[in-house]
Amino acid sequence: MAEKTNTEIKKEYVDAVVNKYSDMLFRICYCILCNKSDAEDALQDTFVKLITKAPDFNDDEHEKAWLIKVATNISKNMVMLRLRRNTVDFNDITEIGVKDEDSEVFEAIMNLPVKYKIVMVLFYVEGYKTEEISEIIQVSSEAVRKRLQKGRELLKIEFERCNYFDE
Amino acid sequence: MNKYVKEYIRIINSMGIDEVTKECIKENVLLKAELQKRQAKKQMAVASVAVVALAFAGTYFYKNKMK
Repeated sequence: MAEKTNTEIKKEYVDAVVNKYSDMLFRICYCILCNKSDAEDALQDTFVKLITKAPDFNDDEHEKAWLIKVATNISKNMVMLRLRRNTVDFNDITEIGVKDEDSEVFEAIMNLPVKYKIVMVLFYVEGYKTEEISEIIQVSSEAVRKRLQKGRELLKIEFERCNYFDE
Repeated sequence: MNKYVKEYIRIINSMGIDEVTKECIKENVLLKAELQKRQAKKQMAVASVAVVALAFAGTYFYKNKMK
């Protein structure tokens, strides 16, 4: 059997990581950028960095944490370069898989400050512990816990403002 | 876990990218990585030439000054 070339090995690796992590990273990038195209660009740049830097990972968790850190930093840099305010495009909502009936509350959730959105996604959706989040986003565990608490309060306010559970 | 958080998780989990976009990303990642590698090589070559040119200019200047 012919041996695989370096390009083929790279291609297989890219296929595997994109299939495995793209949805998770897209959610994080979208929460920061609130824009589908920008989130896709950030996602692509994250994978490019993975290929060009080719860091050594101890295990899958290490690789996942590295990708989250890079995706977060790239998205934050994009926000800094972009002077306009983040607003969710209505056309984006259905394209990214969110149901029509959830669109109002989704927009409200996306309007929460970025620092709360990041910790909430990592804690509730990705299942990271506060200590792990503090390592990924480089803030203290105490700050992560405070942000989670404040995030929950803001979430409640937004859900109530949208009369989500009264319907 | 309160009802707000449960709904939040459900809504965020419904987000994702389609298969077509994933395929585009896979192709673009390899091309962009290759491009960046070539650009880095080119920059390295330019920097090496600049260093050699500076070394020659320095030697020439030093020799002329010594005369």
